Amino acid sequence: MKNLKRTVFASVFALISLCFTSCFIFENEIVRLNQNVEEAESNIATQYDNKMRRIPELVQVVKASKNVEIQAVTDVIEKRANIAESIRLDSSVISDPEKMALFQKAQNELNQGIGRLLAVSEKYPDFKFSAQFTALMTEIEGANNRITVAQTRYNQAVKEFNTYILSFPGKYFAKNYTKKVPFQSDIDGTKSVEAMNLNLE
Amino acid sequence: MKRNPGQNPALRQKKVFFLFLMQLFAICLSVYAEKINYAEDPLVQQRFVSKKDKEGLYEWTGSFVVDAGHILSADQFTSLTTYLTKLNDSTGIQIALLTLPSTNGEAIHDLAVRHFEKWKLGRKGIDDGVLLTIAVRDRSIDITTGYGAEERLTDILCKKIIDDLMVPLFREGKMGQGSILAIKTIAGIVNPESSEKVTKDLITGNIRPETESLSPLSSENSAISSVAAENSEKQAEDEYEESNEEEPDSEKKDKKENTALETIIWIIIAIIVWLFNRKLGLWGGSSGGHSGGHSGGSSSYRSGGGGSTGGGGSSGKW
Repeated sequence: MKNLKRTVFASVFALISLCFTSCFIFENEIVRLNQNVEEAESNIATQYDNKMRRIPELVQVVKASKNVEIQAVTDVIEKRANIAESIRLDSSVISDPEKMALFQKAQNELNQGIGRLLAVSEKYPDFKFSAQFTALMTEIEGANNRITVAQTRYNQAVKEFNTYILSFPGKYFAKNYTKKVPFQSDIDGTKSVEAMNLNLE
Repeated sequence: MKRNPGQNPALRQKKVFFLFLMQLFAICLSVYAEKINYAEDPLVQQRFVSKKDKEGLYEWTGSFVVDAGHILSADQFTSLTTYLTKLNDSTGIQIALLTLPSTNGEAIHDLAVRHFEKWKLGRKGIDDGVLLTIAVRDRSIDITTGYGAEERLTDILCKKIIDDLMVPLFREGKMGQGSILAIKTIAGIVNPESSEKVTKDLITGNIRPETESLSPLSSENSAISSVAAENSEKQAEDEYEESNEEEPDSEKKDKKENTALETIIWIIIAIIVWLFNRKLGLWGGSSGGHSGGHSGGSSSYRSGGGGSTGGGGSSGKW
């Protein structure tokens, strides 16, 4: 009888300590995944900043060309860039659909402006094929590519996080965390980005 | 097995058990059996091997070149693979070439980034990998750079390489030459030693489609860097012979190391068997002779270094 008692106590004790230690594992995993999401988020913000930095350079190049029509288009771009910069991307913006819509709208308008600049520059091949302009357009295209990659990675991290806090063991440890929102890539936005593709043929 | 009348059943059981253990050990040794290593196959055959995985991405072959678009001749494939392998050995930089018939509607940059993430080019943490992708039917070229390579090989330089070096050659139909010239320029720029010089040459236009690329590797590999971009068929023949001469040397070295390892293992087995002999008195004398290890052996199957990309680089069409 004594033996039975002992084994029962021992096994219950073992079970409880197992649960206790596994709690650590689940909690830590949630923290880790959350950190991944935040890192991916800051990456996106960095890439958008990177792209915004090119706009003043673009304005400089256009001013140097002294072409009135192109300058008019670039003024529009400048104004839209200022609007876009006023909405900085962070977690509050991403999770709020209204702010997100505003952000996307600003970015779309900016992209459309750049697309129009490209269309106008078709008329002036000297300007279009000038070294500085092509260099800048390459950089902006590269910035767009990086933004896309950053968005994809963010969405992957969000998916991992959401899956973990919604499925079985994670559910009970996720009291302080809410489900995260993936980055909606705007359909109109991508169209205007494609309009920006520089085809030197 | 001879049946010695003087032994008792217990001892016989131990014998059987011991033999069973030896068999198990021999089976475990099959881990040293020869693996099919794409990189060691006759490279002339390998350029036709390009497998796709479930998602339609081409598999890594260890030779840094996947030529599903068939733009490289046999000699070009050989010399390019040798060049990239030596580059990886000496500097850790991993540059790969991927040619496909078509991207099937997908943007070539997205496809290139997916391949880069699958192959993990470049060293982990340093991320000095670069992927050059060519879609033959779509007539598009893309260069994708890892985080580390981006610092030296900027998007603008990628665009320059595509527009100034590759497009003129590709329009003439010399796609293999163009690819090789581009790869050597990329190698020159990503390699910190030669980066400034090659970047300056590229910008000032000193690297032309006709010239050899100026990318000095370390002095040991100067023999390889002299295997330059093919400009004529004569040169291609000479280089094919050169690269063939170098291959046997490296193979012999690998074989020597492997057989040394295997002889050591056989010696250990012999010692164990001999000790068991002494203990159990199974059979007198030394154990039977054994070979000095089988030929071939497994060379290291070169894999991607764990690097990642930020999606940088540039693309173009010809």
